Amino acid sequence: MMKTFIIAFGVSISILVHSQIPGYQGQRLTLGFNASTFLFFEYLSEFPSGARISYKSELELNFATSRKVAMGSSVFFGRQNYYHYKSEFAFTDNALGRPMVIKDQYIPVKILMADLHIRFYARNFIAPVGIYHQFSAGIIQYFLADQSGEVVTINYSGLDNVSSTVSSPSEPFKGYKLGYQLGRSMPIGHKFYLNTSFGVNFFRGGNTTIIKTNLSENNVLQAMMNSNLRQHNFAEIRIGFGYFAF
Amino acid sequence: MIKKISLLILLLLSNVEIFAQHSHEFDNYKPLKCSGPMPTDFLTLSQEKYRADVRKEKGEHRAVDKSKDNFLLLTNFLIDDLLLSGKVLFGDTVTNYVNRVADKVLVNDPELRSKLRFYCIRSHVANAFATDQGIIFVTTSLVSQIDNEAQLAFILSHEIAHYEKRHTLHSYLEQQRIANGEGEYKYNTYDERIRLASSYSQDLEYEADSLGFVRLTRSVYNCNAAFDVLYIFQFVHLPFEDVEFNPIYLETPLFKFPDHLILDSTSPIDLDDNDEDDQYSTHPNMSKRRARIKRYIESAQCSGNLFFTVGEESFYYVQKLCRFEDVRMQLAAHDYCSALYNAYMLMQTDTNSIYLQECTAKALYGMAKYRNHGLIFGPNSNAIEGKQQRCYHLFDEISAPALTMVALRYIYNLSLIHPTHQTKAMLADLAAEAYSIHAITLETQQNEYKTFQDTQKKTIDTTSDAGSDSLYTEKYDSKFNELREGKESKIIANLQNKSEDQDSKFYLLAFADILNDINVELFFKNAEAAVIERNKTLSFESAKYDNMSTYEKRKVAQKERNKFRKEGLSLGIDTVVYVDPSYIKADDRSGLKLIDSETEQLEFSTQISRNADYAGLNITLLSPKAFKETDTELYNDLAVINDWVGEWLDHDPVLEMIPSETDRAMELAEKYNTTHFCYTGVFSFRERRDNRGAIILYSVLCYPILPFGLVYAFTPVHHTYFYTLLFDVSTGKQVLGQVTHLRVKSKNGFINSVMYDTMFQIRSHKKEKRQAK
Repeated sequence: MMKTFIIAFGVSISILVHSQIPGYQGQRLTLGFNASTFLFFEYLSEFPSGARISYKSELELNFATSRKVAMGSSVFFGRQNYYHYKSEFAFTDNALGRPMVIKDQYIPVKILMADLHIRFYARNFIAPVGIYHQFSAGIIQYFLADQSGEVVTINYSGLDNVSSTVSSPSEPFKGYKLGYQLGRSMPIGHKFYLNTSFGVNFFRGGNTTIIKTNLSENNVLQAMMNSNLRQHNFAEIRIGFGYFAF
Repeated sequence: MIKKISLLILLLLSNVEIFAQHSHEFDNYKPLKCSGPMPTDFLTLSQEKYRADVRKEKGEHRAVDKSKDNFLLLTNFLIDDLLLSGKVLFGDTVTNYVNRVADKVLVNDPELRSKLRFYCIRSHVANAFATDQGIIFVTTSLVSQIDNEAQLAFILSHEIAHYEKRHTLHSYLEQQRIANGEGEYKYNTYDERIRLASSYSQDLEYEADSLGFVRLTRSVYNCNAAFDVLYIFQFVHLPFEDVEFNPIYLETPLFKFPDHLILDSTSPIDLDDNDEDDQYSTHPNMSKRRARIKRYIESAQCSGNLFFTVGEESFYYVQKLCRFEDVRMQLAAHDYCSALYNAYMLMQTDTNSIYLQECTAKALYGMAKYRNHGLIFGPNSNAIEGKQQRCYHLFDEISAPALTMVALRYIYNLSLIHPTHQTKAMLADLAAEAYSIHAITLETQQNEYKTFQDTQKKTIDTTSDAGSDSLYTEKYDSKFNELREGKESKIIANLQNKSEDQDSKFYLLAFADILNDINVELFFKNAEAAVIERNKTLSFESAKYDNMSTYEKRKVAQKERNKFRKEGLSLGIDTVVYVDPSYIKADDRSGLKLIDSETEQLEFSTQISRNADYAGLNITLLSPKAFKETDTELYNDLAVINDWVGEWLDHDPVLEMIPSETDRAMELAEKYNTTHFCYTGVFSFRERRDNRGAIILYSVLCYPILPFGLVYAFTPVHHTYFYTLLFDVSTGKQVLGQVTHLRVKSKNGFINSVMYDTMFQIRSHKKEKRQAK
């Protein structure tokens, strides 16, 4: 499916490259860098809940294929800290009278996304500048950023028998995303532009629900991490700058 | 002694030479042009003038009153708009002459003279006015109406008085006070306020008359001229002179105007004193002003008694130039009857003037075009005074096909001796209309001519028959005689009917005397073929839609709109002249932002050049704000193209008129190597967002979006309009007319984007591979 899409994209660009498209002062290919960020509220296990900012960087490439349409591709990358609660055995009862404590912890992950997108420029704007509506489809995945992110489970089968197992996300999320952006590219001089946009993403793939019949540490962790990914990347505000290549 | 005589002879000879030169000049008259270096008034930015005025006004005070500040800002920008419109003349014969008269008037006041600048405006409206900045304008029409130099001297003295007393400023400030109901005007009704404003303005006029008269008495000029000028102003709506109009020059040996079109007698000119109600007018009525001037004349002692000092010949020469210029201005203002009558009047002395013949042709063409499309081109002839009424009556009463044929024949004759682009274009256009609107073909004309010849023959035969009958000198009281007389009267009645019918179709004989000419035959046949070809194309276009339902038609139209939006146009034009780029900024609170607009306008011109470079479009920029001292030729060019476009825009688009200045525009086209002239500009407007309350209310109800709602509610709405009008002066058509509305701030980037796109559409050829940078 994706392969077909990429081929179609390549063919359409090669056809359209010879037609009469004005672009911005004759320039149709843009390269850009965007900072993609979003403020969201996270409900932690212990009150108070907090507001957090997610961040990822984006490198984008766009090509005006007609007066009103530009096609392009983006690569997102960044480090995000995904929340995970950890239950630990306590030797003394806590306030609730239970021998368990819940501890918050963040697992640093590296996120990688790539998409192909098409931009439709609003009435009276000429691609590749002005107000646009962007529709994208892409792939996404994450993996542990470093060893510190590993979730270590301590198993107690008796006081003399304590062992530990590493159950950090064993199956990193791999899935698809569909996105929509409403944005504006504003040229600055002949060669540069400023880009601002707001968008939403929808993800498909990966386990996001805790399977009650399989309450393994790994299963819970996996589901939580995948939910985190959706939470961090559901919406985004992008601010960036770009360069008109030719 | 010999030296003196030889000098006198030389002087006389040079005068003869000047006259000969003038006479020749009027045969091939060329419209007035500016010459010499451009004056500083045209070169200084309006904002610089305004700031200088504010500094001068401030003096020792810390600040300038707001109304005064507004006045200085507005007047500086408005006057500069006029100065850079191309309508104002400098360094030309008429302006130089006016300046020389001003020198005479101000000979004893060199300090005041140094502060004043005098310019002429090309206009068919007789007027003169002074500005607070020390510029005095006189229109060419006013110079064409006055009788002598002394009258011009009084007009200038009157305007100098306005300047000295700062009447424009005081009038503006007082109008503001009255409009705002300040001070003593607080309790006045609206009606009373208008009357008070008029009364104040009239007092200033009286003061200017009085001071102007005093200045005239101190000069070398005859004071009585002041009284005469006010008479001239009363009759300024009349032509320069009142001469009998005889349309014989529009007839041919076989083509004559029927009697009912020629008025036997004309309405006399109303010479009664002008006592019209002037309580709502800015100027007092003429009889009141004349009465005052009369009192001044009776009580004053004039130091001079001259009507001419600069020179009588110079005056009449300048007056004639202005009259020739006036005809052109009347054509541009669609005042065709006046233009034709004035041209006729001037042709009485300048019989061979091609210029006047051209003006007549253009006036006839204009009238025919307007009449063919059911539009009105002038006042009703019943309302016209004087001998010009005959001219108005003729063109009021004549039918559309007749007017078309009269115009066609006149232009045809002119094209034989002066075949210019415009005469040819007018001829082709009218011939097409004669065929398509009135079904006049070569055949109908030939048939009519044949009928005419038959009727002529029958008339001759009947007359000769009656001659033979006249042998019966005695009348027999017999049955035969009664029958014979009955038959004769029937024949005569038939002939009379034929003659009336022929009267109504007299216009078909307009070309009767040259119908056998192969060129005439070809001309009409070509016109018919062109119309048939055009109709075929049109019917082919409309046939596409004939079998479609309304929904399908709408769908096709939408498809075409989308196609245009996606692909744009490909006009394939390589070279364009960009004329007077404009940039206007405004907002809903302070209105026009004149200073910002001017600053942006300068940047805008640079943007045009840059984008043209990127688009590979060859352009020449006629940007008056960027003119330098040596750019007089560019200013003259600007005037020509502004006149052409101004007239084009004034006509109803349905007419598809060829503007009267087309030949001059074609000269420019040759000079700039393109027939395409483009007007472009930006209008940027900022306004407060509507329904702020509702937006805030919704945001409060849906509280997570409150910060966004507040930002949105208090962010103003920006509208940026970018327009482009591209004309082809050779066809008289608008090639491109686009207005792009962007709901963003007028940032240069967005304007660049749209401007480049427009230039790209202008330059790109259909199915051409992209070559632009």
